[in-house]
Amino acid sequence: MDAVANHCRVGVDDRLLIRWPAPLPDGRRIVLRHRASGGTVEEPVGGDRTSAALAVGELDPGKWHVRLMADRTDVPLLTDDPCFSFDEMRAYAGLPRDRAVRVVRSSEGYVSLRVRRVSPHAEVEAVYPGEGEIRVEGRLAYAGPRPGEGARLTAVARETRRTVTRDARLDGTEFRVCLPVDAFAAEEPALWDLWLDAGDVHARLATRLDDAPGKRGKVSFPRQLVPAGERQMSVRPYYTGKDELSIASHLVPEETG
Amino acid sequence: MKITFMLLDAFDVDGTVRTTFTLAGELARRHDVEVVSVLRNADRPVLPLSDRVRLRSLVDLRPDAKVPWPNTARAERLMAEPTRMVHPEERCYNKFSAWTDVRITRFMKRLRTNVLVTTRAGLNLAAARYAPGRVVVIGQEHLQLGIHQPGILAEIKEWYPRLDALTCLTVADREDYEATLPNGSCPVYTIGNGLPDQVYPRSRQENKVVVAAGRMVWIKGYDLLIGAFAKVVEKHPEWRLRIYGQGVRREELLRKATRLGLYNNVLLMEPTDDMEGELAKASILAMSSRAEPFGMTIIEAFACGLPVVGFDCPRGPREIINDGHDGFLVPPADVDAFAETLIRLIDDEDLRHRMARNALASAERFDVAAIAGLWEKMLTELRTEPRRRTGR
Repeated sequence: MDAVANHCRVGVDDRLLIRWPAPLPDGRRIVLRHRASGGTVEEPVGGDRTSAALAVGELDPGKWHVRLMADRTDVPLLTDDPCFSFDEMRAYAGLPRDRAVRVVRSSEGYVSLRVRRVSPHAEVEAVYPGEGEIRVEGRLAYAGPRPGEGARLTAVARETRRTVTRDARLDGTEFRVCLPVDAFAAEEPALWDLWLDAGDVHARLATRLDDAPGKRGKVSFPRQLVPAGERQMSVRPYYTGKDELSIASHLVPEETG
Repeated sequence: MKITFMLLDAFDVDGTVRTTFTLAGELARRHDVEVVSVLRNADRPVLPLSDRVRLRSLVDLRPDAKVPWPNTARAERLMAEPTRMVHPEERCYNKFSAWTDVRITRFMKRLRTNVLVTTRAGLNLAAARYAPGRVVVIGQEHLQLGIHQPGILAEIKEWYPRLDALTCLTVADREDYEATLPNGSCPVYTIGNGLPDQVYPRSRQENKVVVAAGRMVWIKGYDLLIGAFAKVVEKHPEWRLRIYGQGVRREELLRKATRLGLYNNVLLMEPTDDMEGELAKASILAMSSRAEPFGMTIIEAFACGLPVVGFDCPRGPREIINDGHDGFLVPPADVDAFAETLIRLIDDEDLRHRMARNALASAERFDVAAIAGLWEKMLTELRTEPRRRTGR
């Protein structure tokens, strides 16, 4: 029962594929067990005894333990697969979905699935603040390509609900937008939340597919200074506690002495 | 045989505790093994210790711990007084007290074990003074000789010959200690740290990530690494650097990454309890240390199938990395050369895959089973009569 799987991934087709480097003994099965409800899904290991494939797209949200069963006993499935690829994650999020399934490997090497309800967001892949602009690039996640649809970026000031809007380029799922910092300096000091709108999709700008949750303190963007009357405003992109991208603008304190 | 390991604080998270637990757990497959911690401040150790190993402590610092009558008042008084036994230049001097002096010497004098392994200078010196001659005493040095101040060094020269043997982590350390200790007085063995026996995740070389791990302090050279990575990004803007750790330099490193425009490429990650998992998601380990007594992260990265680019700093990396085979050694502090070497590995995927395979093979040398074998061989040599007269 100590067979170590060398491949455990969920493909864009929402199938969990498990492979072993050598054939398992006859009669082995894969069991998915829902942590919250105890419900199970079972599938025998394939005829070659080196792989198993399970449809996981309809699983209830929550954590599912992946176990290997022989006769009536089952043990956690062990793997040496890191279970993570940026390219696969990006391809997976490239299709419209209302739930996302991800393989998670524990520190002991055990495999589980994490099923989450998702709604489209605009995955930020790069931010370039400089020369009076903030350029943002990324891809629409869980919305699928939106051919022929115009896209706009809307910044909403959190307190006053004032908005700043700019056209965005949307090419398939890839988006690109350029925001002049003056637009943010012209308003009251504020925190601006950023949204990408394309057709019926209203997607918050966020970075969630880079496997590094909690970006505050991990990364920081430079500020840009803009004249605001007699004073100066500082405009700077930042990540919120939920890894959403926002823009902070505030008056620079006047130097004393 | 009964083997007793002695740690200053087995409840702390630290490299010495980790490697001692790993070795103790492996030796306990064939021997009676206990770990004695001088200090205890928690119910259970943070780091995993095998059920096969007994753990006890000498001084209980938990809030509701009481020293039993008749020593209650004396313990309280002595805990507040500085140690007289341990030299003020011991790097953990402040953790010792007059009460730990009492407890350590009493423990040493009444030892009922075949082998005592002490794990830092202060404990090595105490064992050399007080452990009975019938016990084989091994002192371990996890740090290089040069780190000791002159005062404690004089004690080391005076007392270490009374150890049955000294172990250190690198050949360079062994040479230093052999040169320092009077000729032939105390055998010095080089035995590296062992990798715990577990299933390691293996990098598929599929993510464009360079990883680094360790405390965010000057000695780790992350300032140099971030500088080098700025040059990598000029050629490969899609590659990312993730540094895992915590430390006093964190804010400064974050500012440097921002100043160099690396906010899309460099992330300063929090420490994680699954470092191997994070290593295996990456494709290259960067070891930018200005000095590294051993380099446990290099071995862990090897076990996860990562080639390593490291500065050829004193001392561990050059003894672990086989230059051009499982990693590359770069002249110390040469940021440009570090960047060029990373770029070379990034450019040449075949080379990266080949070196990753070699790294996996290199990790086997440090399998704890192999390391425990070296310990057993040494202990057999040392226990064979007639034993060297240590003067204890």
